[in-house]
Amino acid sequence: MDLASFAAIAGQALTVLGFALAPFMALPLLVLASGRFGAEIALPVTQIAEAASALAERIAQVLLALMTALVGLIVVLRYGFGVSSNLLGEASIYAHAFSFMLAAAAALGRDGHVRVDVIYARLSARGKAIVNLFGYAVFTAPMLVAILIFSGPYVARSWAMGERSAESDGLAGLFLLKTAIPVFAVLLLAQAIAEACRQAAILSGAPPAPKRFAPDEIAPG
Amino acid sequence: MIEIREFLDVAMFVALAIGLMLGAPVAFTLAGVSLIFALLGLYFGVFDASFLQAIPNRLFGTMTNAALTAVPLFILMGAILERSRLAEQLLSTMGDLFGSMRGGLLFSTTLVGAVLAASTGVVGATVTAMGLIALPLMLQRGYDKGLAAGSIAAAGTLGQIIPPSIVLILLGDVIGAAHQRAQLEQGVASPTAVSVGDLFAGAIVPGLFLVLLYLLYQAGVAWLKPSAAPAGPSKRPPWSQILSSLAAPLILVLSVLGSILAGVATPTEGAAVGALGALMLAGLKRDEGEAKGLLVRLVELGLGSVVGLVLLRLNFDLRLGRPDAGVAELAPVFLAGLFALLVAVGMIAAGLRLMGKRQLQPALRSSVEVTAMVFTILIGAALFSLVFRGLGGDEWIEHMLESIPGGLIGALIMVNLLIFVLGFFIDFIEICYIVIPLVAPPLLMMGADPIWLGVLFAMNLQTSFLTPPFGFALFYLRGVAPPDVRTMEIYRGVVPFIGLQILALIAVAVWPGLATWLPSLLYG
Repeated sequence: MDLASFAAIAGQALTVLGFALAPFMALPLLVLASGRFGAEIALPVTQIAEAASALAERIAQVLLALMTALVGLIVVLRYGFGVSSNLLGEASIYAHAFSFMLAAAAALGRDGHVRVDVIYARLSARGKAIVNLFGYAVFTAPMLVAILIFSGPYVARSWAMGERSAESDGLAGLFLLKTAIPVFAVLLLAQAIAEACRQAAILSGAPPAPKRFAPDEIAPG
Repeated sequence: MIEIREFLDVAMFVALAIGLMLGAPVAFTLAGVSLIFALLGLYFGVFDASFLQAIPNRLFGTMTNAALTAVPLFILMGAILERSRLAEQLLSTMGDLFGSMRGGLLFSTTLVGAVLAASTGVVGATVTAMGLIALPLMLQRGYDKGLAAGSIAAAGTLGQIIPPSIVLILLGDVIGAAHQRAQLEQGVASPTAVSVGDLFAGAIVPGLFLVLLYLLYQAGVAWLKPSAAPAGPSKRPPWSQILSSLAAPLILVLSVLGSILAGVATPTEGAAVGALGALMLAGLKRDEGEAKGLLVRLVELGLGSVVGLVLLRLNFDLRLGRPDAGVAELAPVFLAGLFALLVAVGMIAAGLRLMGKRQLQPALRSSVEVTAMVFTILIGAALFSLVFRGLGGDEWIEHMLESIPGGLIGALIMVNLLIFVLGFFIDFIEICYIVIPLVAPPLLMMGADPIWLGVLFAMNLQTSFLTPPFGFALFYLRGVAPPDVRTMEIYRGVVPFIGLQILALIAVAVWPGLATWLPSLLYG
């Protein structure tokens, strides 16, 4: 089977799967409404989502190390031996792009996405939970669903033609790089659902799922 | 209904401001507000759905933007310097060196901040290190708490104006795109490009000027009010210690900044050299009483091979693929290959050592997290600017700027005031990617020099690190400062330094040569 027909079948299967899983986005609502019952359903979902985020984060760390080494290699080859290669340059960009696209979900788990906390920092735990649930329902979930919807045909086109680098000596897997966009959206959506369930549990008084990620002391910029 | 249609872009900006103040993560708020207004625009028939189909292409553009690949590398470099405590060593040596002078610990804070700023571009690492070491020492010697805290926070922010810096990389990207757009709209026949390297060169003189202002202020306070910064006991460190603690950061400064400014390396390449260099220097560092093991020797060998490689490169033609070359010409190539291999071995050894000390994994983790955070905001901001432009918001901003009396100068003052005020509430990444792409093209079309404009914005954004309540530098300092330093004392202490930063900003605004002289000297 060639790539194009494989991609067409896989794409259809993923679309069906996506629609089948879509009701999970309402899981925080269930937790909010039914308390303990919803929390029991949310627990395994949260665990699966966070296991996926954690795995993606580890891969992202390896990719950052790899990217650093690749650019180092490019420097030595170009300035040392007068060899330059589009392949290596593209590989470093691939590593970088995959790294941050994969790590975004875990960053959410660690509460690493910056907020304007002029008001937020002074809110009670319940107040914070309300803000977070509102953000999930109005901002985060629609954003990721929109990215999924619009990137579907974009990525499908790329797979159908087995898109490769425009450079003759570049990497062949441009369609794989573009696939990082829906992967990013799915991972982040799963993690966002897990976070929202936790916030909903705070409001409904149900036991929240234990946290997998510890907040990291981070240094933006 | 006509009114709503016409003011959708304005309403979008207002909604964004309200949404951000709620406190949900910035990246998602940007994207969510954009989607809501895209739908409203579609409903009122003032928005073309094809803008939304451009979303994946925009994301892909953010993913593959080559200039931005320097960001994670500089963040990693800063994280390694922080975790391996190389910065702390430098600070304690400099503190001993200047400690016997009145205000000496203030000077050493500023100077170490400048040196660290020139080797990496990360504020958090510098502020954390100095808050842990210099602050307790200054308090113990009876320095004024506000003055001490202000000096540390201000020294940390030098990392953002002295290149290489994350702010300058992001600004270089944004200003470069704005410059292109402006030239396109004006129909310039032979458009010029502005790169991150140009901004790096432009920011050096203003950055050093700011260091001078800090030092003058600190000397003035120490002279007028000796009790605020008393002299300590003389404890002059031996020269060997001064040199060895200065060596690591200076090597990094020379190799990273030197190669970028000389136009030899791109910022990304310089950043990778910096991150790998920091890794090896950290691998060399031994705890007290720790024996020199095999790994340390391998790191030493690797660093020696770097020197060997550079010397060979300077003296011989090492280019591969010359079929006519004889044995005499190939010998240095083989030797260089051997050196390159040893460098790689040294790096692996350094990596293993840092892994053993549990320093590498946390550095990678926090770097990946910060990078993901920054780029998710860029993705959100890309959606925002897509929809905002789709609603005609860029024309609204352009008309507004053009209608400000006083032409370019009036518009510049307004924009800078806006950025300064926004800096109290939101941080540099958002300002850089929400506000500047909108205001820069009109300003450039009104005749502003792109490098000058970029440096002005960079200096203005620097104040956002110090302005309470949520400047990043304050945040980090609060995290490590002892509890008897009250938050209000930190706020009070940074006020004079914000004043100095504004003074430097005005100086660069009045004398554009401060920013444009070095780039024109270097790149013609």
